[in-house]
Amino acid sequence: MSDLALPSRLPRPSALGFVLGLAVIAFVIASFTTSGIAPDKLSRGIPALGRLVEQMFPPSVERLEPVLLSLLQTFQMAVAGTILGLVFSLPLAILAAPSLSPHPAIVWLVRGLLALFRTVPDLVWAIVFVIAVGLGPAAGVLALMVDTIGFAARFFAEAMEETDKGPREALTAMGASRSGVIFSSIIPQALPSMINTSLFSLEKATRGSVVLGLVGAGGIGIELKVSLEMFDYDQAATIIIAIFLLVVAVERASTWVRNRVL
Amino acid sequence: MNLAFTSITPAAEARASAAIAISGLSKSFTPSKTVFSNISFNIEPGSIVALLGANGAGKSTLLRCIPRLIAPDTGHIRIFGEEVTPARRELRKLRTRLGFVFQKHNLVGRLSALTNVVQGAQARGLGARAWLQSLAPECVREEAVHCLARVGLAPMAAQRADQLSGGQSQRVAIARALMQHPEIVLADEPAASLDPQAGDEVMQIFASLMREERKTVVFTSHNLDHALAFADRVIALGGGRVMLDSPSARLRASELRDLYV
Repeated sequence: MSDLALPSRLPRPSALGFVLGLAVIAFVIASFTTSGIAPDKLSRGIPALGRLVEQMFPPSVERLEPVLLSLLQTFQMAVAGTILGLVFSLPLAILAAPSLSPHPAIVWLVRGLLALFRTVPDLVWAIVFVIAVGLGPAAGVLALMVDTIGFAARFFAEAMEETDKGPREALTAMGASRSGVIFSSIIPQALPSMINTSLFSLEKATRGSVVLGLVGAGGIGIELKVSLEMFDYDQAATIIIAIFLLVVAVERASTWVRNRVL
Repeated sequence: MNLAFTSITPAAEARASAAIAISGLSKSFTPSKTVFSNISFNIEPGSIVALLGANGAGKSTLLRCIPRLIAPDTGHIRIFGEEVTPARRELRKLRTRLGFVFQKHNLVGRLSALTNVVQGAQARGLGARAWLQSLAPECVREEAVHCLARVGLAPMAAQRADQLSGGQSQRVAIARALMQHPEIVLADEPAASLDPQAGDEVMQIFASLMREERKTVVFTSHNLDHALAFADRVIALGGGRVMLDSPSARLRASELRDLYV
């Protein structure tokens, strides 16, 4: 054996690193303790879940018609909210794109607004709009619109920024107006990405619209809430299956459109 | 009788009658890297000028300074006596008189050849009607097809630009410049990204159309044969200044090759 010293397998942590590591481990343990997840609770919960599933099947088709009408209203809310959101996303995306915006301060301001729209959950927006415009689908549509703007405007801005600068330069060199450059060079180039984002927005809004009814913002959520509160679990199963089929159908349709258009 | 005379020097007179008058133009990207310094020359209306020089000599930078795609540090550029200024409205108006053909064609790949040519009419104040061929008035669409026919591409009007070959794309870019009705056409190495045969074809079409239309043309190139065959005058840049300025008829390729040594 040689006398050469081997380096240690793990680097020795600094005192601060050691303390921070301990703090992180303590916080993780505390998180599990606070959440109350315990093996005895889980062992009691699994049979209860089994009983719930048992009561859910077979699903009741007694109120199928009003459920389907609510489902249609939910999808209509998603479509209206998405379209309104996309319409407002386009100008906001132009203002949020550094190379297109008239002033850096506007970029900063619009990006801040979009971050606010994105970070506040749609359920919170729904509560805000229920207070503002009252109970019903209008509040849901407005909540989905704001949520779509936060998501789509950001991705539209990024798609516009990533376009080839060459055609833009060609139009600028011939004295085209700013709107001419945007609509005849930048948007046609960004269009595939924008269509993709729009379809994802519709999928997201469809999923989101389902729960908005829980706070009174219209749609099938209120049906689900009432069924669960009245212990009509077979009725709730029908609603859950209907929601599942709607979301899957929208996702499949959106994938089909994406493959055809892009 | 008391008459007041304004003395007009021959240089001032030449500047006033020139299509492009450049005087005392300097540009550096960093304090230690001067691209060119105090460059002056005039270009007569209707002439075709080749701008030569080794890589980094400043040909493309100088060409881009003319429509102020790059702002020069000092000096003046006048287009038919009108100063190129940074004021947005005036600059836009002046740019409509200048066509620009780029080395990489700069077409919108997803749009048809026809739409790319129609977009040249944006320089003529057509606004949104020149954004897409489907929005354009019939006369504009017909004119765009005619421009494509002049570069031999009318049958490919509906083809997407990204499905065209390099030579075809550059011909569409030339048709777009024609559609603009410019008085001056600037071309930055229009044949550089093409194979020799396609490059020769594109230059042949470009030069003959420009002569037919009596346009003033400045093109940059590394191809000395193109410079001698298609230009009336050769201006060569090197070491940040004009190294050579001569009618092309008096030059030979061997003399020009020395510029690259």
